[in-house]
Amino acid sequence: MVAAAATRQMTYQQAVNEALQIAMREDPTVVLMGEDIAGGAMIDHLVNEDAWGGPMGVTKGLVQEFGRDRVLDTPITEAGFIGAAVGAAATGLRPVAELMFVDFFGCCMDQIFDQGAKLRYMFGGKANCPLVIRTMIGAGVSAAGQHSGCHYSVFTHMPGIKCVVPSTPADAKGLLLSAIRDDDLVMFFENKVLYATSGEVPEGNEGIPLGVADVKRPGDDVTIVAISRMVQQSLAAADALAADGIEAEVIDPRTLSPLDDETILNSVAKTHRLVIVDEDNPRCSAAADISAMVADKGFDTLDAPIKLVTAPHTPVPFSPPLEQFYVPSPDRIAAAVREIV
Amino acid sequence: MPTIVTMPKWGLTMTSGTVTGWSRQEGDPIAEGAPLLTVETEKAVDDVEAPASGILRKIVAEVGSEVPVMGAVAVITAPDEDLSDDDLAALVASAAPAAAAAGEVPRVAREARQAARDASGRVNASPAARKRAGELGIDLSTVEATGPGGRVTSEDVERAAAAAASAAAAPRAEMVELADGSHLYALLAGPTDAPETIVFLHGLGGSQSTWASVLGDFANTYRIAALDLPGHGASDKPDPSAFDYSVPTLAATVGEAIEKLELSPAVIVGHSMGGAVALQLALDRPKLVRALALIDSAGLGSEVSEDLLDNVEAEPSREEARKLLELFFENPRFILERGIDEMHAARSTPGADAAVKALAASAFSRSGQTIAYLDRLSELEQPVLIAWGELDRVLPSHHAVAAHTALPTSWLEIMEGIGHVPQVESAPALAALINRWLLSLPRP
Repeated sequence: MVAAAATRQMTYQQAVNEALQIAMREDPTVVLMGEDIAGGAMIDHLVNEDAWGGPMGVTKGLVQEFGRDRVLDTPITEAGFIGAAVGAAATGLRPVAELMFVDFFGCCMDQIFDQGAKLRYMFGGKANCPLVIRTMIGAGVSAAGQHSGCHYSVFTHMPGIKCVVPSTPADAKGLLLSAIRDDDLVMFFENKVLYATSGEVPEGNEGIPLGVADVKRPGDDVTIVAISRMVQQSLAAADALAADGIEAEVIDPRTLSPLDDETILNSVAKTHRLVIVDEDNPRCSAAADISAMVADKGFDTLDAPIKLVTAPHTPVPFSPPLEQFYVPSPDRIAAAVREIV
Repeated sequence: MPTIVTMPKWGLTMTSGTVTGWSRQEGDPIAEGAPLLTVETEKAVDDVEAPASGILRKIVAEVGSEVPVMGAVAVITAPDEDLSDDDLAALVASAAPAAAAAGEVPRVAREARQAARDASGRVNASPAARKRAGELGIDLSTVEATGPGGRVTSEDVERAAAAAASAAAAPRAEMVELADGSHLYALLAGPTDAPETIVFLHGLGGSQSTWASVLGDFANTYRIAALDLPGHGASDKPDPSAFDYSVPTLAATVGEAIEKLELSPAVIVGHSMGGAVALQLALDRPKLVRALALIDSAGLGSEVSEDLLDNVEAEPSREEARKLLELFFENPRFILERGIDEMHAARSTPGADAAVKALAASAFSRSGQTIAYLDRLSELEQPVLIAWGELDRVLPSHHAVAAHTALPTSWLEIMEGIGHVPQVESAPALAALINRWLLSLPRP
């Protein structure tokens, strides 16, 4: 019998920070790059000052331990520093670049999609791109249409990119460790609304393998596949449904690429019903992709149509009431379940 | 932990029993397995043993009260267990509904309704329901829907299949029409996809009801058919001038019924004259018979009781019926007034007495049995069980030994202290024996 690993309570934000610290301690080729991630600390007169560590303070304290050679403040030019990160990855470093908001991906898509993601393929395996791009996603903090999208579906569509969508502090730490150790380009999507949420996180440096879904709540009556923050919304919906005798199984895929088809199909084979909850826009999305996969491989296990609960096909609104309406709520998730159970 | 003593289910058709006596009074100690009360059913009176050791705390069903199967009759507690009268009442009250609600509780209460159809008549059924219906051979148009919009779900199909199986397994009577236009009564029960089919054949002057106490044990697992032979029970009783009441003809009739009911190959359990019919059938139509269980069977020796022959020759009367039961049973508890009435009524049914006399005349004479299968046992290809009441006064138990000697591969069981009718006098033991033997049969 294996003793339960020791854990410590921390926030999602602290978990990301701890993973970066562990990775940088164990591997000197791990470097951080991004806008304001050192926050001006350790420049001449600011040597001993506290620093911001990015707009949310996620990288706070790392420049003090690892120095400015490994925690690089970059100019505000995504095309430049993401391109530099791809080049560094191709030539021996393991950069962790921070794309402040995923909405900015348009500025550096050639570097990501046409360069980094295709390196290994086009060089016949003689080159690779061990690059992690951390990026913030998610609506809910009134950051308006250009700082609130999810867009992980865009990257899931592209071959050569791994897409990680942690929903808890423990997953954030374990998945980021695995992402940094991975030899391919990994997009690591951090939901800004989750930063302040806390949970038990295992001590130590063990990674969580990419491509393994996690059953966040077992149940027999309906399967809810939820992505990123939608896991928390779905768990709240599941509690409300349980009061009416409906036991929902909540599955967190944790990575959209690779996708753990098997865990999802096995659950649907048990419950015969599937609701997919996704904060991203609905067209050509991860939710639509999972739905199609189950319709194909799990057709004969379904007792009801697959229901998708997603954001509408619009940008994220600034108006707080509209923004609240935009993000799938526990009520909407529960209503979708009740339609088919 | 108090133990509730409940009314047992002894027979296939038993729905209730009447308490006829208590061997203990409230407050008396009782040991597990000791006889606690006696219960009378349509067939017999028997002891109910204490299911636990302790103190007989409460008698719920007084002598004379009729209690449904599984209903509470008493409560046994541990010697030092303190139980208020209110607790007791609540306990007894809780027993009945608990038994009734044994089925699975649906997770969401939804009304079953007719499945929706589209304009072309295609039933609205989920992909999983269609697949399961195909696997289980269920016609979707017969399934009630609980899904939103009248959609049939896989659970609906499972429920319909279970209902169909339980309907098929429920006991039902059938009058089988034979080629000559006459009808044979068959009591059928058990799942149609059971691993074995068992056909029960009663003896001279009897009917399928002789098996009532053992059928219940088999119907849960096996497909069973208890037949009334021609001239017996509820089957047609043609006049002996128009029908040959001989063992070979009866065997041919039974074979025809087995084919009509699609029961073959069947394990045949035959008692007394039914055993001879079973033997004849196995020799004449071996493909219909998978195995043979011969219970106090005729045709395996020369002796036959003079008293039986006297009884057959006598005019039917209530007194003759009593004498016959006295000849059959060692334990006087089985000689019930109700049983005598039933026996007399059966024999007084038009055509029944003539049939009994004709059949007896074809098989027995004052110098002994005229049917003889002992020398032909070695021709049998089927596995054989020979079970006999040790004290049988109609057909002596040394016939069993002779049969086993002639067929050493057979199973032999002599049932200690039992008379001619083990299926009534020692029903649980005989059922257990047959069950063990069935499980030992080589798989086809």
